[in-house]
Amino acid sequence: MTLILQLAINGLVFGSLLGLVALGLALVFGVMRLVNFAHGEFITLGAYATYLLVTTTGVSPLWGIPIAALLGAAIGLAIQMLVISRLAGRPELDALMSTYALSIVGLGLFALAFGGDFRTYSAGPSGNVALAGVVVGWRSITVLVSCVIVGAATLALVSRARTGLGFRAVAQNREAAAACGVNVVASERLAFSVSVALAAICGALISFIGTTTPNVGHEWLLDGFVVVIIGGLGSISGALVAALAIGLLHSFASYYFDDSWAQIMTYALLYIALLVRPHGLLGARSAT
Amino acid sequence: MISRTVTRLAAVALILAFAIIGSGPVTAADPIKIGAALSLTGRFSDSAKYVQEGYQLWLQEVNAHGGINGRPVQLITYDDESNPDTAAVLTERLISRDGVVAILGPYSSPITDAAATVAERAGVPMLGTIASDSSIWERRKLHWTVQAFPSSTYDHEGFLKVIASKGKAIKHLAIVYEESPFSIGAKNWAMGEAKKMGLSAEAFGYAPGSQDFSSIVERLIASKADAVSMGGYYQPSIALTRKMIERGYSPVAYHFIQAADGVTKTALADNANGIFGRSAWESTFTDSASKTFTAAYKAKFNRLPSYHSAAAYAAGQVLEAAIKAKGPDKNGIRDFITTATMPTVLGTYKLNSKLQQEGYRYTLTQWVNGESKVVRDPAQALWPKPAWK
Repeated sequence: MTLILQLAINGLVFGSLLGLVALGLALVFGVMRLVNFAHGEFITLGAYATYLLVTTTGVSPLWGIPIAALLGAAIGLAIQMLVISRLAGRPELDALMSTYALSIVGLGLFALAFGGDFRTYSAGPSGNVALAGVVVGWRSITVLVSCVIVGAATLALVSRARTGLGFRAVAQNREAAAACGVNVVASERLAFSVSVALAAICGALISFIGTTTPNVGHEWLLDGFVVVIIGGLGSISGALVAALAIGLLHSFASYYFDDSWAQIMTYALLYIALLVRPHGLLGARSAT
Repeated sequence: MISRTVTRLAAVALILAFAIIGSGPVTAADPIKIGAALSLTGRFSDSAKYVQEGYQLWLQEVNAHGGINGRPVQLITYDDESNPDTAAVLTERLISRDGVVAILGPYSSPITDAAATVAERAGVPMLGTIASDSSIWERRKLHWTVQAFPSSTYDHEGFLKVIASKGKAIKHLAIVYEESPFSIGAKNWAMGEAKKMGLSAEAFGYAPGSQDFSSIVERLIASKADAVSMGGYYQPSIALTRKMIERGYSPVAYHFIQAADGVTKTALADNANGIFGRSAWESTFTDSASKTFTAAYKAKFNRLPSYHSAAAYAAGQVLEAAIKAKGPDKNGIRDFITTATMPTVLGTYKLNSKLQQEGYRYTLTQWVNGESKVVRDPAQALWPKPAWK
């Protein structure tokens, strides 16, 4: 039983990070119907921002979470106004290629600024907590708690606040929403800005438990897309459920089989999901 | 009619004369051209700069001593932007446009692999300066490209030696490996050696690009391994170590292959203490070749050389000996570099029949009181590893 609990906790920590990656992707797709290939670079942005903050000022990496969020929100807003907003009404392939181009530019800029060697730091909470034989490190607890808080706040924003009403209206029908008085431009700006802030927070947490390279965001992006597809394109709650499911599957399959089998099972799950529920676990049938 | 024929003959004679003058006999002043495509920008640039400096130092010394057989040496260098495809294109350019007689290898195994395709097709000798991945020579029948860096096959060798010396009480060894050819090759060798030593051993693989090592740590705990050797890349090694620390799993002895790098201390702080690593070369080596090289390097570049610089310098030494013995002839150079046994700053250069490196071996290192030190005598190693803090 202790082992089962241990594996479950490990899976939840991994799944919560995956959920945060998927949350931003799902939000932007849900509101703007945009597949954002540059999302990985925004994760990298948060990771480098936290690394610089910790190594230059010596403060706790926990400060990296709000700082990365603010930086991500500001940069997200700027990119939405300068690039993404100009794609409205253009063919989907144009939008796809534009975000891909943003990704390539971002990758190049990070490589230019930081070189190829990975960056890391050792500051932050250390040690672990043992309860009934289950051992969890303080870093993992920090990641889990941060993801739960940020995830819950995002869910509240989307489902309860007036802003969320605007998001949902724009997601359902952009023109009709505008005709009903919803400020479509502001909604799209906010959605993209929040999405980039979520990615940057995720990057801050990854730098906290892992290492940072120009590719760090890319390494999480593919799994993020898998989660979004399984959860239902554009479904925030679907993405969260799918992320936790994949985190648990990965943890148990890696232990009882091996790491490669865990990856095979994840993609098998994606295949089955596409066959059985093409609109995803909690996605609307019209979402695709 | 006759005058037109005479004019034509004169024109042909003139063209021939220019052609003969243009491709005239090589004079003593003509440089011997050698090429290198290096990752001067991009993700490998930090380390590749050390390789470039190693080549530059070798070149300076060769030309300061009158070149090779009285001819100066010219090193033509291009930037492959840390991209294997670009390296292949540049290798082609070095061979077909610049006419180099040999190539000093690029940075990293994947780029060497890409450049080797071109070198093999063109029949130009190339030294794989920073190519530790022996599987390149295992899966491809290479004739012109040689491994001039310690082979990844022996990644775990130093750790097994220290276990043989200090670890009589070790009950179970765990080898963690990436499911990539180089790491699998090293794991297979280590499992075989462990068996010969009468050591119970078990291997744990992870997929390339893996982000989460918590399940592997749980499997290590379940296996009751008291010695762990991680044979994957640097980043996964740090990720695995951090998970072990978080989980409170502290084996008696722990080794990961790139632990000697200074980033280990940044990433793990005091927990680096006692961790074993392996290194191709260290600037603290006290043999006379290493001391001379380190002093010359420091004087020229005002910083200590890394193992990358030493490997680059050693590759230059082998090429220099080859040209000295056989002249600037591609076939001759190939014959020399594939069969020679000679001393270099990296040790004794010697290849096996597959052109994999057998002479150079890794040196065991260990972090002690915040410093990565060479373990000259396994009996003197810090043992057991201090518990995680």
